[in-house]
Amino acid sequence: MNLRPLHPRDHGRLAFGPLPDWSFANRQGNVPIGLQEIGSAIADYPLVFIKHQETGQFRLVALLSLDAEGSWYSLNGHWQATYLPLNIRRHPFYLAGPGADGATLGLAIDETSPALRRIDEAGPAGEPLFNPDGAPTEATQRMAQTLARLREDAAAAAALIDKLVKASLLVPLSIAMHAADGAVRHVEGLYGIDADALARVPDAVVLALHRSGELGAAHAIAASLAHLERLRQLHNARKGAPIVRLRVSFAAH
Amino acid sequence: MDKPVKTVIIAGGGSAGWIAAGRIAARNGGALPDGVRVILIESPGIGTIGVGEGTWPTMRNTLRKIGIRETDFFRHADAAFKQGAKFVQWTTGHSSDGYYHPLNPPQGAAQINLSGHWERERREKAWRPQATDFAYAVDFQADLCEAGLAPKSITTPEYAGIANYAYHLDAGKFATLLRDHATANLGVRHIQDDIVAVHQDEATGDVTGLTLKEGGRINGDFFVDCTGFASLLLGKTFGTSFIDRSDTLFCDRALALQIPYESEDAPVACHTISTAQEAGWIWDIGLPTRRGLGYVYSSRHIDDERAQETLMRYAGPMGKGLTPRLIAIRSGHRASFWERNCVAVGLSAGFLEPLEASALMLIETAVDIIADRLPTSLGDMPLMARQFNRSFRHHWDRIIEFLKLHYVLTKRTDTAFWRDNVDPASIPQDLQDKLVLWRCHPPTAADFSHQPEVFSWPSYQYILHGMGFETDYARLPAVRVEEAAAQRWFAAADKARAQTLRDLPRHRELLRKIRDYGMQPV
Repeated sequence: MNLRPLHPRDHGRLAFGPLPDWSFANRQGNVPIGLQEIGSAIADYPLVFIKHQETGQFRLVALLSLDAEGSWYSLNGHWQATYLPLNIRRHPFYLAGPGADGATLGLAIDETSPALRRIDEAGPAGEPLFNPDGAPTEATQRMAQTLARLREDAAAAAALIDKLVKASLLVPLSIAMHAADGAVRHVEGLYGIDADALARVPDAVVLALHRSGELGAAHAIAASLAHLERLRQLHNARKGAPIVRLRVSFAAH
Repeated sequence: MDKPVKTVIIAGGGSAGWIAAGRIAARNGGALPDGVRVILIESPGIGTIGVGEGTWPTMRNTLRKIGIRETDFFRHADAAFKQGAKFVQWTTGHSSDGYYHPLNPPQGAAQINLSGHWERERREKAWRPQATDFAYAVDFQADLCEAGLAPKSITTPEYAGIANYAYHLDAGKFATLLRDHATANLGVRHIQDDIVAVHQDEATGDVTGLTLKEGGRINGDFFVDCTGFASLLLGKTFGTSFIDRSDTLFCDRALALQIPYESEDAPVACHTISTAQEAGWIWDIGLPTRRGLGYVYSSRHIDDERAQETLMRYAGPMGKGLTPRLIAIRSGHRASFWERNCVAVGLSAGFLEPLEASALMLIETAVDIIADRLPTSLGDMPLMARQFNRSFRHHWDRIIEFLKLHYVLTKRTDTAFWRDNVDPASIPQDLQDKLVLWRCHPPTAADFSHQPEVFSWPSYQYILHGMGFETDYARLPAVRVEEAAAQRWFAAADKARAQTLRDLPRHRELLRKIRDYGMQPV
């Protein structure tokens, strides 16, 4: 990855998308999602919470695999899901840091991304980043809006997380992967919403969560753990030793 | 008639008063309509001593039980992590002289006693130089301290640790945090007034109430004396005698000083540094905001002026222009701590030099008993008092012996203070007996009778071996029989050392992250 502030001088001759393959996403074991994405993401992914390594703060993520090696949804060059999280679709665009003066629309771009190509190159055309006059194209402007939405939606998810933590609803998940030879690997660092704990929440908290639309989100997140079985099947569709059983439980606390 | 305990009155604030108030109210429904009423009376004119700035790991449980989040504690009490103590120049007084008493027990302590194995390994094998020290060989925490690393990371949940830990804190800010929490969330009533009279039942002697200067009379059923050195209830009202222990522990003065760091990102020590001096020792406690220093000394061996010079020399340029505060201390404790319906918690019960941070720990130990088993009626009290007094006489004796252990193992003969400290007349008989036994047998749980013991046998091992106590454990059968198991535990220490030195953050960096982001409860 090589992030640079978006600028017509440097990027005027570039176009983006579609991606030739999913190799960039294959390096990801999870992808952060926002509050509004929950309704779509539960069609495909287990939704869990993980701690940011630098800040210790929880983030809501769609789980793409149970190891650090990368996504199990990418199979035979195809993404095995109906919904693709915004955090993948926004590729290769990022929000430029506060210090990046002159970044077009406040954007930065990953110059090493396989989604980028030169306008004059042969092959699929893609969307140019800039018009010939140096102004960002409509496609680039749409990406800027997407990223702004993504940021707001991440803040909304953080607000939900805050309430879940306060209500003691986030619980460490214990996942044991059993291999055919009896070997067991444990997955650490994942947290989920304990449905039993959710049922015990005081009336006033339940009502407040319901009115804000967050109670439904909480239930959806809790129910999404059923997709762990899908993850297991996706894993087993690949090469390597299959996982014969996943044992999932909430750690006592 | 057997009068039920409905109202608990705590006389005095400070760390003792507010820990007692918080724990008793949280445990006994202080905020519920039918719960126990907890009232704390604090004199606006009397300050706190505020030198109790080091805790034990027990404080993590105490805070959790009071219902304070660890993040809030760090932010409001200017707290830092403490992973043990480093004792510098206690053994020979040379510049290279130092050893650790970490809070982690030796690896495998529940299954194996590593003292004898360490002694043999040290003799027979070419270990890395540091591992000739017991603490470095049997555990990894001394390395964390030496490297300035924290005992956990920002992703570790509140109150959980990768290595065991306690805290350093600002005692004044800590009391304020406890007060705000107790009054806002636990139903504790806070009265700021002076106590001018204590009323007793003429027949039984039970305290029935207190008269306040402004607020008139206030009645209660059970009284907790947190009045500090004044010891208003146990000392003044019941006339319980004070047992002076300065024949064993000579220090009777402390000069305390707070100095700033040289820069905002200067490292914060993750352990208490105790450096022996000609007539006592200097504590050095790192908070994120400042360093707390203090010279604890014996006025029979040096005068105040000389002590101040020594402290200011230790403080260096950052102490320039600052004047230390003199605190007179008296090593010893009350003959009893619980009389009728009054129990002393904190300095009103006694005081010992803060060499092993026993002050706050003794408060917690007392409050654990009181809060978890609050007397339900006045009729409960005589038996509970007897039990409590027996336990605490035991605890004070053991703590005094453990503190004395740091002095009796010295090889220093450079000043009268150190020479006097090894005079057998100053060493409790029980400690003398144990020292004879420990030449041939390492300390184990069997050496101690109370469950739980405040200082357990691993602590004794860290001090004995840290100070080069001469032992002869090679002949012990277990050293041969358990050799393979011992090797596994030494290897476990090595593995944990490599992993924690690689993964754990610098202490100041973690303190900054806790301030900026906070820790998660899970």
